[in-house]
Amino acid sequence: MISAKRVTPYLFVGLTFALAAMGAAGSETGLRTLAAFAFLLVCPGLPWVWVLGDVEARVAVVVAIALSVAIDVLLSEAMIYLRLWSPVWGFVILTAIGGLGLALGAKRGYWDRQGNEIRQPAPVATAMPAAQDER
Amino acid sequence: MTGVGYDYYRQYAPMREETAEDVYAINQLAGFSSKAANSSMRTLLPETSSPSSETHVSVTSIAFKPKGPMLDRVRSGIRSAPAPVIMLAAVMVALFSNVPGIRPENMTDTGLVSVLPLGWFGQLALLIVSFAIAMHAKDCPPIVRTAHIVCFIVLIHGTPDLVYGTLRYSWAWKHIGVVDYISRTGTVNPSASLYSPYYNWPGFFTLFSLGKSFAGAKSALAFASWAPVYFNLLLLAPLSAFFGSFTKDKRVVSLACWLFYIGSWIGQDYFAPQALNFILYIVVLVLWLRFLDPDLSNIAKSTRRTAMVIMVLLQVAISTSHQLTPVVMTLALTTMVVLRKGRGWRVAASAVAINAAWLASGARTFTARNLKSVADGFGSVTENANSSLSDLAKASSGQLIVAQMGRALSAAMLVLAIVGILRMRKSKSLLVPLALMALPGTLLVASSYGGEIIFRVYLFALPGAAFFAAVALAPREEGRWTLRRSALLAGLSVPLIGAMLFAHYGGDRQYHFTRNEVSGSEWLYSNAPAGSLVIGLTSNLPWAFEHTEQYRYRWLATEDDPVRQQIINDPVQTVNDAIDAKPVAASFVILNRGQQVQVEANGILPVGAAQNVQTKLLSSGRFRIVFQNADVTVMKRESE
Repeated sequence: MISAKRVTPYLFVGLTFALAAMGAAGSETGLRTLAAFAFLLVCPGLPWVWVLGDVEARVAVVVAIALSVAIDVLLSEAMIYLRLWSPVWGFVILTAIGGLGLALGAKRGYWDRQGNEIRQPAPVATAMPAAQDER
Repeated sequence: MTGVGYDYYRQYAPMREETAEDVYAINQLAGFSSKAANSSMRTLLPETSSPSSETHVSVTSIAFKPKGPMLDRVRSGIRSAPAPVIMLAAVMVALFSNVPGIRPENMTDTGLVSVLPLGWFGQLALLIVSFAIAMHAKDCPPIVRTAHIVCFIVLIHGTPDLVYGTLRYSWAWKHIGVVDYISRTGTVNPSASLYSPYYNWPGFFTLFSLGKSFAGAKSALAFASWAPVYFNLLLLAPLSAFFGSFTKDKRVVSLACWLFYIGSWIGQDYFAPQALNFILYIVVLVLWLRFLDPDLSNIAKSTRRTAMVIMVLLQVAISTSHQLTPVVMTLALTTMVVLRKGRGWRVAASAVAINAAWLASGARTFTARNLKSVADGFGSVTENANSSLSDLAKASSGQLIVAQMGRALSAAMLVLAIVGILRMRKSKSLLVPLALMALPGTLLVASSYGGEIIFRVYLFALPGAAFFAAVALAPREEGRWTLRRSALLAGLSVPLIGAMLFAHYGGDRQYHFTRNEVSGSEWLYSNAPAGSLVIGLTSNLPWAFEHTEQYRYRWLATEDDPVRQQIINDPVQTVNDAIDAKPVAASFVILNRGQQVQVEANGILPVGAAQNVQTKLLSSGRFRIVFQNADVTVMKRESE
């Protein structure tokens, strides 16, 4: 089984490269629209979810998307108010923000861990062998 | 849990304290035998404890969940609840099969409901029954119930998009224009009076300008019409986490989500800042409830601080993107801190500070212009509330039904919520959701919000109301969901959804635009020179979606008397006066199907008056047609 955490780096890299490639090719398809919004919803925030520790998957998804949207909003507003509007640089900065989160998470070994099995509490360790014996 | 009533609703899902019973139940779910589960429970219980005791053991609930790949969970769903899975699959396979037969041109004043075929209602009925059975099925995994809600969202909000094929709501077209302006110029224009709120709180528009550029789209129209579908889908996870903060009964969470989407009839989920900001608002509440609530003892200090930083980032995004959401968020956070003596006072203080700072900086143009009108409206609760309600005396009979359905659905949600509140009255967990439901009502004191305040109050109160409504319908003991209760749920869902369909789709005869109407507007913006004046009866047409800064507008039927009266009595002179009021590069009169429907259905002008305006302008010999199709006529004055 591949845990959600292990998927994150692949998702980040895949979406970033897919969008960059379609942008470079000048694609105007619905697929590029999907990739663009998937990138905006996932790439800036998901790689930073590790900062909250091992939270429930549902909460992690919620935080990842909301954090991505907040970063997108703040960056796009900053570019407008600083009169530095550039979608290309926006893409580069968002990729850099996500990439930094990914790297820092990797440094802590977060992406290699199994999904929800970390911090296995003591009571389970007591209960599990009994259950396995029973089987 | 027997005997503890609804106090267990206060047991938080993440990192919460688990009772020995929880461990027993979860181990059973994980596939261990009763004996093994009993054994594990014994290891957790003191010698004297009974199975119903509230002995707590510090564990993380997430560690016990039998999570597996999605496919495993789907397989488990099929095994444990085959009937709802098969019924859901049937609905999904034929999801939009009825759409090609729908003829929007035959729509009456009751909206899209009047032309939906029986097969579409059959699908919906099957979905309702299937959801009710999924609630009853003993081991049905939550993902099956979630799939029902997803299907409901796609069916309800996807159908209009496929039927019309164009963007609904004239004001959503204006939002397309703001995205166009920002992505074209790289700036905002806070002093542009028509778009003042958008440019003073531009976050939503700058985000979608970036998205439009990333997507390589020529216009935000490429992704705007499906906004109700994707905004509602995006809301589902935060909403589920929000409800999951008050109860660990996953059926109640699913039911609350189901009821929320049924109750959400007010159409605030289109391509607009409030839709996105409402999602962010719910996430802020989730973060507070999951990381800062004082009942949570096992959250590390560093994690709390991190959650606070994320909340502050979200607050900045919200405060710079929408006028009303930051106010509600500030009220909610302050109330929770006061009620729960939470550690999050810094977050509440930052919400106040960020909002005030933005009002004085980025939104200073709007603040300076509107401070007086906000101050004048402050305290006028009745006037503010009434400004949102349509004048039913003037409305058509179809619109009368639509308005009454909306009111009946809101009242039904309130009644169900009150029953839920009464059932939870002895619970210490009552306060937070009750406060979140009640406090948006205080907005009525502050402002009429352009005549929309009561709808916004309803929207912000709805999550709390949906939770209590779910509590009202759920059994007191978790898992005791009888077939009779499922029948009750299905029986109740039918009239509620029926009212929702009328209330939500009821305005569609005027809110949707035909392809002909879009063609007319596209012709106008392709041919009208910069600096032109566009005149119509109302703004109910696709408008201002490109080059917003180049045109001026006058909507004569929505102006105050005597203009509104004059357009009925002497349309030629009224239009001439409007054109001559200020020098313009050119002037165009545009009359479309949508304007005619709106003025008649809402009683703005007498029936036939809109057609009379067009006839009199043309018969005067002073105006000529420059573009016309079945739904639009664009005219120009002869002398120009």
